[in-house]
Amino acid sequence: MSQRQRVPLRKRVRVKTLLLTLLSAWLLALFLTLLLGQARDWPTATVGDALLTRNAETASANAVTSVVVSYRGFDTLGEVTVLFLAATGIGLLFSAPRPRSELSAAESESTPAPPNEMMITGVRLLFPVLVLFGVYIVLHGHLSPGGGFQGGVVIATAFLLRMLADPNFRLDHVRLGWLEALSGSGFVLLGLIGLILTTTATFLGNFLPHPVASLGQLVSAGVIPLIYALVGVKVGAEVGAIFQDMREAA
Amino acid sequence: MEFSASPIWFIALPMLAAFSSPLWVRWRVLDQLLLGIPLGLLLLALGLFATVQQAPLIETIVIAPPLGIHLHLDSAALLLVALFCFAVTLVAAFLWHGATETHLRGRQPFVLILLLLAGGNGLVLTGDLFNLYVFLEIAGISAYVLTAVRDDRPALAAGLKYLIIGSVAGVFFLLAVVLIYLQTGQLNMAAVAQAFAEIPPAMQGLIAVLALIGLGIKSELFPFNFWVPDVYRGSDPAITALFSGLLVKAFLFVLVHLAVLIWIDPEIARIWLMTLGALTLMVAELAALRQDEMRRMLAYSSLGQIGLILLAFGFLHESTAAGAFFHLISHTLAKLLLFLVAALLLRRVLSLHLDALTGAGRVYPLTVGLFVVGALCILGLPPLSGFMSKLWILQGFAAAQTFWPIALILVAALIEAGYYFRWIRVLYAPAAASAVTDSKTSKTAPESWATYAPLLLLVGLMLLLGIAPFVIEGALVDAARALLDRDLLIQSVLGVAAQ
Repeated sequence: MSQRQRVPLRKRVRVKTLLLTLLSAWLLALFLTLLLGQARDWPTATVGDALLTRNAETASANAVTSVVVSYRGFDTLGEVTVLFLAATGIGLLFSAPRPRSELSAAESESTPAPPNEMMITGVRLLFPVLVLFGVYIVLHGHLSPGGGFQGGVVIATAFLLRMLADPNFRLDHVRLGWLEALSGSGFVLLGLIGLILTTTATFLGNFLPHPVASLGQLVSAGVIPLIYALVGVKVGAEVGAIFQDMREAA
Repeated sequence: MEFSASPIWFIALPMLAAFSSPLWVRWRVLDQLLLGIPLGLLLLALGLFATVQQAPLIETIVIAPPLGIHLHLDSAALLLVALFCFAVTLVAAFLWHGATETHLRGRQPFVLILLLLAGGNGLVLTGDLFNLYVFLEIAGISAYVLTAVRDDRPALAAGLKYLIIGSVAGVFFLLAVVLIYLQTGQLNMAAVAQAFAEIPPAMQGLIAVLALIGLGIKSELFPFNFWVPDVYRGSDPAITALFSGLLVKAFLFVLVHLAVLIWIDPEIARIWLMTLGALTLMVAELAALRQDEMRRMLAYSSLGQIGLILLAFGFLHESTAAGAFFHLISHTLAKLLLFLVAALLLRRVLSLHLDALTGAGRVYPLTVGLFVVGALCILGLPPLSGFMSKLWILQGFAAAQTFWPIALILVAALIEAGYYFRWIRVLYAPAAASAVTDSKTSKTAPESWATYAPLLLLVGLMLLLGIAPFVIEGALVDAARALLDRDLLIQSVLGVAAQ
């Protein structure tokens, strides 16, 4: 009797994994058949199309922005809250003091190598350009593609590069917390002003003048660029705080 | 300028307070605000009952439905919002004096608990499917982090498990929303309800199954609820009280609401919901029989009651739906009491295992006495609200001449009696209570009366609702009517749009 035969069949073939794979494949096939076979043509009268035709009301040259910040601004507030929650959770779990033994073990294993000259010089050149680019994307969110989320992440990336290039560079958690707090509550307060003023009387209503004549200028679309700037500050501060927390934990 | 009692406050106020938390840390008012904000919202909700009884409040955000997002405050949603605000107020009052739970004090738990409230309120208030998904994420993520907030091994394991399974559920639900948008071009629930019949039947089934899996995981129904006892066991009992009292109830409401609204054929929806409810009820109660850890036992008991509530809602009939709302409230009261008692016990003893608690009733008469009251309320003994709510459900089924759910509910109640009396017997056992007394002396001083005040308030409410259910009968019947009347909802939402 050879060695091979003595191992029972169910140990040579992982039956559970196989069954799970087959089940998943069958479900995927079923799903695709339904999706391809049963789906109707794309409906022509979607909510998205209806919103596009009404875009001129907001006087925002970028139609995506008027949907994201105005028509569905409530969703954006929710997404900002989700990011805030994620940053809070990472801050809570990563920055908690670890037991001594784990800490010292981690330190002895990885003493980070100092960044090389290319990195330092490159970041010194790139940093102001990246920050400026991020600010531009945030402020022109209502005119051209981009906006608070994208610009905020670009700014946070600039600070991540500084962290990589300079081991002593730290983002101050207290100051980041205040930035987050001011921009987040600013967003909600702008929304509430829209609710309280009788001219708009709806949450996130555009209570500043937004004449269609100024479409495409930097100062246009009323409250939309203000909200997007706040979103930019908040996203930048939160993503920066996440980088900082992860670096401290590593 | 005008100040309106708009439903937006139930979401915006907790968010505003959570965002500006560094300010509250500096002014040292975290505890006061954590109690004050839900309390204020609870008073606002109670004040709105009379208005909403006339007509549902519809709060348009920026652009009128079906194009934009709106919040829909009808009697059913208002009842749940008031219940959520009450639950958070009570847990906040309990935590205020909890000197041992340092991980539940401070800025981050403050943020997480308030955003859990905002998420729960948003889930029941929103009238837009994608917005519903956003609130599902907000409530979900705050729950994942709250599970892990104690930052020890079991809590982190439970948090990770919850994070993975919750995200999978979110993806399933999102896929259903995407398919609905691709098929109908609408996201507003009322507009989707109108257009849903035109979708090909097979696609309807696919969407329904995806949404059912997503919401079934979130609302802890039978084939999808294997993760629940581990999460309830790993997280802090005061937080678990919120999961069982607030979070599950919100998801359960969303599931029933969407089933009523979107599924046109009530017969099919009835079969699915009642089967799931009955399975969840029986499997969870049978599993609870064998549990030797208090939090796991309470988790299974909570699942069983969720199944019972779904069974009553799923009948899609006004009489049982009113009973289901009553049982939902009564179960929240009882489980808040039981989990907070577990939290109190955990401040003094090291383990909540059955053997470790032998004879605890003789050492802590008041705490264990409160546990007994909570257990009797779940069982449904006469002077407590659990009796009245179960009676309403049974009466509803009897009036409709449907008898199998009645038999099922009575059998489940027998099983419940089996395991709760097992626990009560052990808690009052005369055996040498050495383990309990030892750990007591090593841990803390007796609690002040302020710790017991929220628990005694719960007992008072259970008695009040058990003896005088007519005080909330009107609100319950209105809520049942609002939940089941599909045409009224569609008309009230799209009628506003037509103006």
